Amino acid sequence: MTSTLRPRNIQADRLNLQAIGTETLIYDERTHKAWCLNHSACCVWRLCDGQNTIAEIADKCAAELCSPISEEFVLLTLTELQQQDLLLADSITGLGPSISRREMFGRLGLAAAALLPVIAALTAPPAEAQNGSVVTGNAKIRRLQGILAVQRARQGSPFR
Amino acid sequence: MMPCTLSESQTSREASPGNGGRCLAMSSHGVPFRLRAESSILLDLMRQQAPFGSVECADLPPHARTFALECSGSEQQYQVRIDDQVLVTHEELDSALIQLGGHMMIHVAEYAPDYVFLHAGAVAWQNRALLLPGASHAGKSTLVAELVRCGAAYYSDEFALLDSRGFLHPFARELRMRRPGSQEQTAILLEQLNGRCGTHALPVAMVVFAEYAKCAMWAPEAVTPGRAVLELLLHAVPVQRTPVRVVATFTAMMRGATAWRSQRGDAPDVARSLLRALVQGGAPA
Repeated sequence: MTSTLRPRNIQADRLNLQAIGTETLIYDERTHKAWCLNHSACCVWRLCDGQNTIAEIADKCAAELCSPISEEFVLLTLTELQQQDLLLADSITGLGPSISRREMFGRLGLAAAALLPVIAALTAPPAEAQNGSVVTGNAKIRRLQGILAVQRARQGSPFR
Repeated sequence: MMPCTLSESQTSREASPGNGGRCLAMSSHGVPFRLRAESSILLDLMRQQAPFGSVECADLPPHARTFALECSGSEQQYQVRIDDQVLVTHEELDSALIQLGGHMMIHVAEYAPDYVFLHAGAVAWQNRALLLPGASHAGKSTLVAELVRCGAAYYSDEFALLDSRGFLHPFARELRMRRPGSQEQTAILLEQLNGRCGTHALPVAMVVFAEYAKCAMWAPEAVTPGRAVLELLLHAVPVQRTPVRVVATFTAMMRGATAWRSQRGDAPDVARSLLRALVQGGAPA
């Protein structure tokens, strides 16, 4: 079933991509969600163009990463990309369970463990979320508040 | 910033026709804004809450935001308004003023055209800048104070200003610290710390995500540049408005910087480790 899948990543027009060394930062301007993908994860993600099969993604990744890449590795990465909403859902229906990271680590060995896909995500907050103003007491201002109250009383009417 | 000298003939302080109130035109880091209040006393109190680096101006563009403080009716409640929208109402004037100050600061931080405002402490040591990103109550000011006490140049305890090259600029407002368990902040003079202010733009050498936790062990782990940029987005004020610019600024900054993460206990030992690592490179262990 998976051999016929042609995964597709989410639409590029609303995404901003920034290369940072071997990592890639993706920012979705619509949802303000951001992801950081390591080289392996980004390699697989970019090849999810709706045309490449799992086997083709594995072959092309192997060439780019200069390391053997199995279809199981691609399936693990696709699962993680799917969990982070980086793939179009209808392009990966029937994906099924993949090998676990622990099992893949065991197969790759310590030397190749750096190849394991790493995807971090967060949602960028609005500006107001950075407002750390704290209400505190201030005796001087309380005195001024009293002065202002007296002034208003003398004027005889609230401010319009 | 647009410096100008006030005179009685200038219109920066003017009566606002129709409501008997007073207006004041100001600008901070390239962001113009207007203050409006019902009396000169209130206007002066509002001006004292303006962001660090604010200056009074003669003219304002039409789109400049208006921050107003009004007393509502006979209940003597104070309304904070932004562009005539009521934001919040307080019975206590000092509460209203502090809220107003916070909103003015965020407005400037979000719209400043030449800088990305990052919620972070910032110091420099031997021409190398150190950033300590973190939300309020993360312990930034305490660690910054300790670093300054150890000889680092003070850049800010609240906002790191980064230009398009990723260089750090000073935002050296008065240092404010909270006593343990208290919300109230106390101003600390640099002289009390035998400290000095940084004056020049500097490249960032190290970014450390270090949140205070009682009895925490200082054990910094390296953070990759990409992960550092990702995490910095959580503390960047203008990120939702100008995400491309913010990401590009952080990327430029991280080209020459290392990043680390650890919980930390008391500040003195951590401060010494950080300054050592700034000079020698490697982990700030």
